[in-house]
Amino acid sequence: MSSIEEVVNLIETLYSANPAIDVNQIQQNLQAIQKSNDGIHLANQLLTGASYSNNVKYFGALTLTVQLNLNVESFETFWRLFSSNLVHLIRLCGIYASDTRSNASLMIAIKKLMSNLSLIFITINETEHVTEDNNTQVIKQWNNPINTFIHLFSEYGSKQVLANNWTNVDDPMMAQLLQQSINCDVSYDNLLKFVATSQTFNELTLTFTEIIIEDLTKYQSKKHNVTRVHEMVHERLYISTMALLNINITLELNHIHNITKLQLSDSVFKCTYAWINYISMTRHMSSVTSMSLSEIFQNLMNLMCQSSDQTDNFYIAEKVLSIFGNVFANDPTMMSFDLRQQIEVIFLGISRTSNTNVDTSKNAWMLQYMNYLVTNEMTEELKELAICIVDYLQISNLDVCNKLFSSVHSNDYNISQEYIKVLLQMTNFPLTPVLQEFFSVRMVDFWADLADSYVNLPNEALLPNSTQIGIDIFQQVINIYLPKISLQNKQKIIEEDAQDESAIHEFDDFRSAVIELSQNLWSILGNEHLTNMLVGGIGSSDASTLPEDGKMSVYYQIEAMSFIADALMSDMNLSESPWILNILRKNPYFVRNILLLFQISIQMAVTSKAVSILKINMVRSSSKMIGTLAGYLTSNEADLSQCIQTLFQGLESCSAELSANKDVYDKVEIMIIKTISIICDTCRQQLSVQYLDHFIGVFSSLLQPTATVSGFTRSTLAKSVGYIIECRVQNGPEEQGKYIVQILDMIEDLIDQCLDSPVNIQHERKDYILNLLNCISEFGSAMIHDEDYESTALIQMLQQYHEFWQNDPFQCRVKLLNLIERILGSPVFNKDSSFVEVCCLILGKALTLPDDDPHFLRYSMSDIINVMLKYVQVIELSTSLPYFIYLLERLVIQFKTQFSVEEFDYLFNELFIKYYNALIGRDPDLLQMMINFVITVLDKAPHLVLNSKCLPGFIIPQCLKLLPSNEKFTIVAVTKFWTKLINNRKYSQADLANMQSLIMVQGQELVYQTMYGLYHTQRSDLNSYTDLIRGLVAKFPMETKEWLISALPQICDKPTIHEKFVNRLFVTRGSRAAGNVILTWWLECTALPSY
Amino acid sequence: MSSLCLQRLQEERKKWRKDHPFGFFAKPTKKADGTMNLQKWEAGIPGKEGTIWHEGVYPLTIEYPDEYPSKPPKVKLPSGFYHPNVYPSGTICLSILNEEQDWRPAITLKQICLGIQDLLDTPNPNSPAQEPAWRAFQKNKADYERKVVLQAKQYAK
Repeated sequence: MSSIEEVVNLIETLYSANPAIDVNQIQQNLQAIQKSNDGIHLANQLLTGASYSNNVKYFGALTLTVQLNLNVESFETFWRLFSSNLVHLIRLCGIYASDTRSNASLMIAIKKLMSNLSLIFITINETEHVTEDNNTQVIKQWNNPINTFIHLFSEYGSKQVLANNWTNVDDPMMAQLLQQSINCDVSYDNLLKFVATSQTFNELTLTFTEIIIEDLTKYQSKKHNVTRVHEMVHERLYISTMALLNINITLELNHIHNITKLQLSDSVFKCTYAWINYISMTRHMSSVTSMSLSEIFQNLMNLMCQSSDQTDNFYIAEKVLSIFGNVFANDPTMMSFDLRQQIEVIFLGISRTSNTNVDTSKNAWMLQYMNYLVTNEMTEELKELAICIVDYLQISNLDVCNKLFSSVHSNDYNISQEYIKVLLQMTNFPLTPVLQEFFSVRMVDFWADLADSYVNLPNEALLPNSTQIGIDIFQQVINIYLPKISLQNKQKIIEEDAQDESAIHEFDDFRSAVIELSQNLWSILGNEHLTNMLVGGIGSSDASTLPEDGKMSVYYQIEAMSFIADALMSDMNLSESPWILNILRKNPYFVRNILLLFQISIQMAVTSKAVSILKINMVRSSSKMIGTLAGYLTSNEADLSQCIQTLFQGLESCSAELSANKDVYDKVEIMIIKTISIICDTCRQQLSVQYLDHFIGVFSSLLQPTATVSGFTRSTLAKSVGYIIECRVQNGPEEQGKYIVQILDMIEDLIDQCLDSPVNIQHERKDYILNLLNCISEFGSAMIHDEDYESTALIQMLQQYHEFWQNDPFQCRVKLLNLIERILGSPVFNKDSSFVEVCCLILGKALTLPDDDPHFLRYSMSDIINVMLKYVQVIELSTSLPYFIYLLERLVIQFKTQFSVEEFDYLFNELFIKYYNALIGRDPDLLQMMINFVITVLDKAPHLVLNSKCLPGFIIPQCLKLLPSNEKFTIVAVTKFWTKLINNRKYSQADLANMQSLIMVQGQELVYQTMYGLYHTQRSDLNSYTDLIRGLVAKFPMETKEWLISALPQICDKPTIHEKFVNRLFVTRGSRAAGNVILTWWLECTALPSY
Repeated sequence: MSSLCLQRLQEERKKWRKDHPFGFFAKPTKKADGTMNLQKWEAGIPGKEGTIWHEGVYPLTIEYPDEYPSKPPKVKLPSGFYHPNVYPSGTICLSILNEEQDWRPAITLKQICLGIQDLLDTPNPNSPAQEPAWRAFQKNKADYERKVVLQAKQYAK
């Protein structure tokens, strides 16, 4: 680049809004110059050129940064950079101070120069190569950049001769001045005089100290080992800055300038903030002496209380509170106990420690401030204040707890009570949470922590009446929060701004937090003082008789109570909680009002976003509560009947709704059907007597293709009906069988109708047919009992049931099998793996059941095998074979004693070997499934594999070939196979002999392939081979040694390593140790580093 | 539990209560005597909006070992959870939860929860943990999506 003008043009282009040429290219060119030996010269030129824009000047400052990071090997260069930064900073500050408004954009370059100087400050005071230099001119420490700045700036302003030659750092006068300024002293009076000269001088000084300390904080947080500079800061810069800040905060400058208005530059707050963060960081470092901020905090507190509506619209108060908020949230003990006590009185008008000498006038100031924020609807500021106060309260949470509940402190009980009263009042701030106030939201954490602290207090420390105190306080807390979490408030939030998702989310989070709080409080209040109160609140009077006006607000109250009560009751087993059952019975309107809430929410027409959100909330709360009540409903048939009827009405209303608000109704539908399912599961005994026909009727109508319910609803209802039929055993198998066949007929008829329709219709109805098949599968699942299920009626008639389903007089299995065959035989469905999957699920449903458990889907071995053999040729094997393998695996497990080796061979051949070359062998997933199947059979019925012709003919050769595989899945499966084959506890004597003779034949090849695979595998797959090698060593020690000695030289020619490996392997015990020996061999053979 | 573990878990709880992503929940479980078990948490991860997971809130259990934060917590979804990177036991295969991979003591509960939410819709092809979901995800996207949507309904919000 030939001239400075070219560089300037490039810089201007770089910073222009739409650069005409490639920006990357410009950046590369400019960076090259910045890093070159001409960098300092270029920077000086750019910073001094009078006609250059402030962007160019900034680039000049940036160039000095680059040079500072690159060229500081010699002190001369370093000093050049140091002095250049200083002179340019002073000069630019002078220009800026002459007309701050026109030169505002110059601040960016000034700040960059200040930042460069902060780097120099750290470097001089920390870097070894500078401090150990023998040159006497070398500056070994820089005491206080602020003093240097004030000294130079004063000289620059007062001596015209110097100012004219200011940037000529080679000038002896300038050089001398710079040298003198580095470690000069500036007295307090001179500091005051300087900053009093003009507001700009003051602000520049504040900005400089702020930048230094921010950079130092950043530097330290990057884990640089900095210590000396902190001492330097403590001894000098800290003292100057504290003086500077106090001059500002005590409004001394305002008095000097006769400014009566309460005003303060933002620089003061920014600087204070930066220093607090810095001191907070360094005070935990043992090497740094603590720097107190008490005077600053005290002055800030005084300043805050001067701020008012009239003086500054509480602007300063807001700024100071933000600083205090930062302290309380991050490092509260920075503020001394005495100062925190003063804050407490300001915030709350009361002190935890004393009720005498409390200056409540300061709290009056706080009340005025709150009033101002509320009146002017300054929600964000109110939120900040709430966060600040609650963060403050959290500092002393444990102390409050001790004073209230324990005998450890000798304290005045009345003071603590008064204190809690204030906190309760604050929690009960009479506005809408989230929308207008935030105290109640933030106080949730305080009360939750207080409850935790109380629960964790040792019994011996508790006051005799602590239980009653706890109940009194926490009951009030719950009573405050109940109306706060009401959906009425959510409605207000949505109506204020329906697009403001964050406020809605915040309110939802608030409700969740209150749930968590309630669960904490339950351990203090118990059912007696919490659950009962909620149940009573919901069910003591009939909400249906309320006058129209105000009805909705009562429903919202019920919803809020139900919301909390459900969270408490869902953890209880109601049918085994006589206390709660008794309370529920004593509140005759409880169930009725919950159902009313459900009905009201179902009836809400979705006319707006607000309604849709509230509707979902109300349905969720009421339906969840109905589900939770299932245990209670087992002993209250009238209520059970009402619940079922209401839930079905709700479901009906969803299916009647068309697409306009589909999302809302889909959600509602899911909530309802899940509740129905819970009730059917829990109350199956009660429902099986009277309601079964009703359920079947509803199920029948929802099964129809015209019913607009989801597939999930259909299959869940199928399962629900199944629960009830499963329980209908008292009248013998024939009656239950009739119900089962009725359900199956319904579904099968509908599927048949679809299958009889033209192919294009079948295509259109694929989802529907799949859904109907899933209904059969779910229905079948419902008919499987839990392991701990006991039905006396069934046990008494078990033999009858067993025989009944063995004979299957209604031909359920045959009919269903025909249907499955129609599906699997149809090209419309058999290429779709979802249909194959569900058919396999149905066929294999009863395969895991104990032999004497009756089930209508207990297909015989031959039925299942026939289906598999018949349709394996037509299904899409790549996606559907896994379902056949799954079925086959279950089949072998169930019928292991009936399976013959010939049958196993035949099936293995038909399902695997036939497709091996074309498909399975090429697909690691299918390969893994095939090998895993063999492993399962080896585990459950080893004789089938060991005597199989497929073993020597196919399995062994393939599994040998696969040992050196590249695919992790395959390596894991195949090594597991060999390990299982060698080491299997399920073997009989004959099996064992069989295996041993097989390994004696294949051993040499097996060891070779294993070690070959191991040698060529990735490090992460080494462990897969460990168990196999250990198995061989354990079961065939002599032979394996010989096989290894023979195989290893063929793999790589490292005899010493092999010998060491073999010797170590045979004296090693344990998997980890063997793994290490194998790893060492692998690393040494492959010459890879160990790390 | 070591004091470091206890201190860190208390800090995690405080941080979570003060700032957690919307729709998530996480809280320590209770011991039989009603006191809090800070080493075992229960949490809920909502599926991301605009994905096939969005309808559900998926329950997690988080167990912190005594060596936490040197060692990561064990995070589990319900057993049988359908996802390519979730083992049949429900254990989640995620690098930030693996001591030998990307676990760092500075990782917070919030980062873990967001990481799992992210994993739901963007399975990691390099860490298959269960066969059915993995196979369907690789070879039969339609089937995979159908099952995920059904599972989301089972864990509906």
